[in-house]
Amino acid sequence: MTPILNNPKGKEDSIKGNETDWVDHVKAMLHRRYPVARIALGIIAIIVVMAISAGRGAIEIPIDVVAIIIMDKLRMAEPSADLPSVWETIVWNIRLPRVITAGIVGSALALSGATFQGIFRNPLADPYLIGVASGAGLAVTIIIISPIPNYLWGINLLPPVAFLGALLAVAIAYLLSNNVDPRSTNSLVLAGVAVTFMASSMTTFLMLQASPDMRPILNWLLGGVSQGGWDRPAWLLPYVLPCGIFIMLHSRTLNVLQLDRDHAMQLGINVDRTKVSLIVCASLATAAAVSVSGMIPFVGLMAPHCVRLLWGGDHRNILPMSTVVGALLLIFSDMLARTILSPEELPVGVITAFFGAPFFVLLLRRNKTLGEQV
Amino acid sequence: MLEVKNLEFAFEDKLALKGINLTVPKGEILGIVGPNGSGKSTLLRIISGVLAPSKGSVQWDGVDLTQLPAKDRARFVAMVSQQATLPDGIKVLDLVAMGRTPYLGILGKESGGDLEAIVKAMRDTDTYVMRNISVEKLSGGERQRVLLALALAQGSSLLLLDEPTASLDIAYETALLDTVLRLQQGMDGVVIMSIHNLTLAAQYCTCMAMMKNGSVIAYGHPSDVLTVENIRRVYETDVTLFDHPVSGLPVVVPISNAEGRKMDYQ
Amino acid sequence: MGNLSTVLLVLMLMVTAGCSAQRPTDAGTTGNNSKISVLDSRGKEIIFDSPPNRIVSLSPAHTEIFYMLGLENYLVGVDSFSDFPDQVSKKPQVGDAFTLNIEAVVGLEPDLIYTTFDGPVEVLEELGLRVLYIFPAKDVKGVLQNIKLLGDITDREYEAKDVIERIESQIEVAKSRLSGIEAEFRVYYELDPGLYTVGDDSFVGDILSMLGLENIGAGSDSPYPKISEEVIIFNDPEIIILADGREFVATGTTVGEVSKRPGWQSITAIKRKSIYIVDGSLISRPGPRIGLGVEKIVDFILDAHSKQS
Repeated sequence: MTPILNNPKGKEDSIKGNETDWVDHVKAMLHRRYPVARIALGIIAIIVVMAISAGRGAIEIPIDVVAIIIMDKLRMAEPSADLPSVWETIVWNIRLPRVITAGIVGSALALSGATFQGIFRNPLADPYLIGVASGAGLAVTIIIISPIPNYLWGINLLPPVAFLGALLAVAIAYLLSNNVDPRSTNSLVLAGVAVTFMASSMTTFLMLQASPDMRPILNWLLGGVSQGGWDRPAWLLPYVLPCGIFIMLHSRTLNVLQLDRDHAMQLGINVDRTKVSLIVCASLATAAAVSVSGMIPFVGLMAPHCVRLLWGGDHRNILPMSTVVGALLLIFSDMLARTILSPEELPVGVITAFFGAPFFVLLLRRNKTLGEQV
Repeated sequence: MLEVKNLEFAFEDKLALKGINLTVPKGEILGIVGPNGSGKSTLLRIISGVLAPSKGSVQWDGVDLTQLPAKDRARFVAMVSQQATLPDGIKVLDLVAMGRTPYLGILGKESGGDLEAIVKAMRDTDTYVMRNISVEKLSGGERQRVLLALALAQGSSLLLLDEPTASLDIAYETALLDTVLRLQQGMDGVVIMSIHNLTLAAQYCTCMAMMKNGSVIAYGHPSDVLTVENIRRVYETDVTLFDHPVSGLPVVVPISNAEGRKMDYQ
Repeated sequence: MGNLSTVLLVLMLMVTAGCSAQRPTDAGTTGNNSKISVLDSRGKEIIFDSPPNRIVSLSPAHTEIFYMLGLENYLVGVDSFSDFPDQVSKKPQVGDAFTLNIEAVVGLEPDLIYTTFDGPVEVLEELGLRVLYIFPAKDVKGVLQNIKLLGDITDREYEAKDVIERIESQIEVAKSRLSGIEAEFRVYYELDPGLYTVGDDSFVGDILSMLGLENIGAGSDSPYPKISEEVIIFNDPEIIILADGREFVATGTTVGEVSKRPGWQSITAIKRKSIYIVDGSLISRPGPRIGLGVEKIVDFILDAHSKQS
């Protein structure tokens, strides 16, 4: 009794050749999963956009001058004598660190967002899901309105305080969910939402208590990658780089984690330990980003989502490309923040929120299966 | 050879599995039957390593699987679940390739042996044609075949199937089980299936274990296990047993208790 | 969650920005000594048959004016931002103009509530209370007009004239100290280390330009713009003034911190150490101490001038 069904009509790929050919075909397909060319192009794009952005602002500096200034600092070229020194200061001390910070923060947020979307198997997850941003915001608010000065012994207290606040919030969410339902990622999400609500409402309450002081809090919350010079990228890299590398090494693993927990376990993956370590890394990277640049919305949600809609659900693609897209997005938004209302400057969070929303709607219409995924 | 020795599993103060002892030689297809809640799925999950037993061991050729780290164990035993979730947007080939996870390092580049295992698994399940299709576009029967390919790609000697035909209609049901049968004939391993349909189980399994309330109450050849008394004891219902005209294996027909339908049998 | 609350924050930011971008109108008084009629900032006519006896002030600047006019005993309640003079801490507080404790106000049985913010106006009027709502003064002239107005209403015209003259002379003296020097310094006035400064359309901006200073923040439309860091560096201010004090943020920004900001070392004001801290309530509060505020700024200018070479 032979089954009738074996060849699904209209859906097949032709089977050419014998089995050794098959092995070669399969090898070609599988090894192409790491999008090396795309990543290389992405990095080039990032460098180009950074260079363009470093030239734009309240003062327009042509891109070849930007290049000369950089090469001069690297002792590779001599600038002409009539180069205004203030241009050099602006490009090297203000714009370049700013643009690089935007790149690092954007990629950190996007990579964390992609990781969370993978772990929680929810395309609407973002890096702030389990309380990172609201914890940081509350900590910063407390410092701003308390008698403690924001600068103590010459150090800006806000970034380290924000960092601690972020980690504390995640730890609380984790403990809460562990207490109730240890292995469920759903319970972690719910605990994170609870922590977020709590921290946000406390923050709002404190903000209202301190009405005229609201501006610095709002300012911090809406986010910005400016100020702070080269300290900022220096503070970010030790957290973002190792965490980012760790996460990307687990691209394949994240694919397997999309299966049921049992299934992934049967394939030999220690699901709980892997998820926890990935959550920790993503949270660390996000906390570092938030501590430096406040709560920039949408980048962590949009970048991985765009990548997913464009190139599918394989994490070997999503993780590196989200990093690239996130960096590009934030560098571009920061450039707009600086130029749209010049000489005035908008907080970068306003830009990402304003442009993020309609862009998202556009993508949504392009790919209607989103509705089914959610 | 698979040996289950004194397996016990307690969950929330209840003993879900009580003292299970089984010996399954290589080449056998073991069918586990029993009513819902008898512990079939639990037993399979313990053998696959997803659950840890409270007492006892599961040994394959003398190696205690319950003591192995997950990755090593994954090379010994693979399982096809009843309601597996498949992630959207992933191609069949990539899904089957996941079966090689226990053999790959972190960066996971598939080597020659891995590629051959993948191709063989897809050839055996007739899924090579679908390799470029996204899994959400597959029909129910195709999904099960792909999941089977995934399990086969693991290259394990012990294959577990939890209600593999539960949501399939007749043609797919038979096709899948035929595939399993065909594979087992070339394999040096053991297949364990939990199955709802007693007749189907009898036709395809070389030995059978009937479970009730966490214990195995009958074990042996399907003709010996599927008796009217056993079924009455375990399922608390009456049936009629025929012998299949060609294979001679038992065919189970339930007896209705409704008025006008009750049939008198000797 | 983060995204939704950010949208709300954006809206809040827009609202607070909008609130500070109001155009001032003159509040005029007509009538003789026994009955005064005032047009408030809504264009509504408020009638005073007799001077008010129980006044609640929701504006710290005007609390100061009331004290200077000798009306301490007629002031029955103040807002929580009124902090000068020290005696005011003994007065009952009713919240602030944004979050007013209506019950507390009503309980004080006032016959006049003075406010520069329109939020509570309707509510209070519905309760039958008399509310005088006047936009905050946008320049020195406006402050003097407000002082005169309050003097008229409360039958303290002479005291008001006194205060006005005193302030005017303070300012004249201060300005005269600048004669003979080229005082067109470029100035950056920092409200907040997030780089918020004052525009032309603000009270402080008006004072700065009155003294002949070139305000870096003058390029934009809003009264309190957040300015780009590179604009500050490019325009190279010769004087930097840091606002300190409760009304516009006490963040404890120090001269030292500002000097150390990356990329700022090339700024003239930093090289010459012409960075000064001023009590914000002296020059950003449109009240009777602006004379002192102007004096302070002139002190800074003279100091910066001496450091020029």
